Amino acid sequence: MSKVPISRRKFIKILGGLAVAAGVSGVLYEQFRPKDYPAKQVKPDAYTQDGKSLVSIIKGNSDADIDAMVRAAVSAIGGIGKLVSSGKTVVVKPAVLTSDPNCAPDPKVVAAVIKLARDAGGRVIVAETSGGGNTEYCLSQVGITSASQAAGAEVKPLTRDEEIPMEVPKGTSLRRVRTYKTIYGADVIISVPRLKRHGNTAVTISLKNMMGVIPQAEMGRFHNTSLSQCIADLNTVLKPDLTVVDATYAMAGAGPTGGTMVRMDTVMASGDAVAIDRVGAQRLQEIEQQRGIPSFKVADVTHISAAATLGVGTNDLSKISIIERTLE
Amino acid sequence: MRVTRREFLRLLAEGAVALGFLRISSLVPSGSLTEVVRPPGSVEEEFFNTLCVRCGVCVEVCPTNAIVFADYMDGVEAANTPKINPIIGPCEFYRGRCDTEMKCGKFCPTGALQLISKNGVKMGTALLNQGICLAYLGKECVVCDELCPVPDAITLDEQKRPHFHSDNCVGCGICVHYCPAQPKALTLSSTGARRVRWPR
Repeated sequence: MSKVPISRRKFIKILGGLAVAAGVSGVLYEQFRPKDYPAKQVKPDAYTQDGKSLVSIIKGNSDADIDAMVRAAVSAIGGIGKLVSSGKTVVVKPAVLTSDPNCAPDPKVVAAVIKLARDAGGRVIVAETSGGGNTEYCLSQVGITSASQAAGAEVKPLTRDEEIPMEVPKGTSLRRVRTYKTIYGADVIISVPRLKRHGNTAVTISLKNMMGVIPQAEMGRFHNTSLSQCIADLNTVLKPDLTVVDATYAMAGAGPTGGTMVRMDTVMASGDAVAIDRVGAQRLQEIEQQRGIPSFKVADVTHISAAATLGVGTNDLSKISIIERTLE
Repeated sequence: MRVTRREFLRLLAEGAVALGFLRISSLVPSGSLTEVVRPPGSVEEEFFNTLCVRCGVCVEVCPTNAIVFADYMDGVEAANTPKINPIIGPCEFYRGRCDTEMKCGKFCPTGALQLISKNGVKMGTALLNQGICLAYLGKECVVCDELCPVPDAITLDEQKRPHFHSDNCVGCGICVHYCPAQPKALTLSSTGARRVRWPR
């Protein structure tokens, strides 16, 4: 064997040098790496009366006057003017799971909400990440793209938007979450879900709808950790300021896809996402019991109680005042 | 370049070993050879590799990029033919952008992929590994059931655990693509695939 080209001493020196370089670069990276965005400021509920969260339930004929029902539901709790003023950016968030129109809210409800916000002077963006499939395709297939554009809103599939990491300071299962710039920059978020049953979380109304403002990979992570707790954690930083629930036809039984469509002829609205989920879950359960569909217990809906514990809203029926009206 | 006798012999030996890795035995045609999941509308496997000219048009037009080139591990004769990789994308022939017209079958120049209606197509079967499935591990997850486009292919039991019914499964791979478990609890196999008869 010929002479070794490197001495032991030199080898150890090189190793030492590499270790120092790794340490220094680690410290430098930690210093200069892009920081998470601070949590989005959550506004207090604009629709309260005597310390009680207001929930409106408007009945009408969903074939004829969806527009009037949405208008009545929002004005019953205090009107859109409490949130939207001239020049505000309003994000309308429909709940689109797949390209099946039964899984998404009625496009007429989405259009009516857009018209309300536009009349109040807001700039309206319809933003969504669908749970499965291509978001752009799903939005146009369920009819929301055409209805929203006709109502004067910009339709933005979030998959084309810039992703940003955000802190979740109050989260128990979730410490940080990736969301989108459009959502982060929005002045007002209006959630427009359909009243539906869900296999895991029993119901999917307003709180769970917020899972559509994060990338699909993050949705996967939620299922991988603890879904109900993650939904509650997410709502501490990304809470809808107003929720308009489309219960013209609700999905009962085996949701969130392929359940039984039940005609309820109802539109609900509230500024408190937890309160409207609590009330909506109860209505859905009553309907299922009437029809003999296997149902669930409202007290067992974990994400609603978890969100209430974190202070997102109230699920205590004594602190919720329900305004029920029937349109002539 | 000069090659010594020793080097020449070594090259020969290395070539022989490499061919062994490439499963040279599968060059002999003997019916359905590979376990590859083919795009919807594929002709029977024994004619597929003959009809396919490896042009890659189906790979280009697939809206979800689900179609990829098969590699030598799928058999030498199947190299560069199209196969479905549900990890990259699900096949939307049953519900989605191809549910009216399959793009791969429409643009295939040789007829290895036929343009057919979606009724009766079965690309394969999704197989569940209950040891990895989050629902069987007690977590809240029924993503496969939420997104499955086929009625009654996946049902939930009382503990909200999914059960797969291979007779109804069309093998689109949507459940595999969206499975959040790591590694994925679902795989797409070519078991039970129904192919287009050839010659027609």
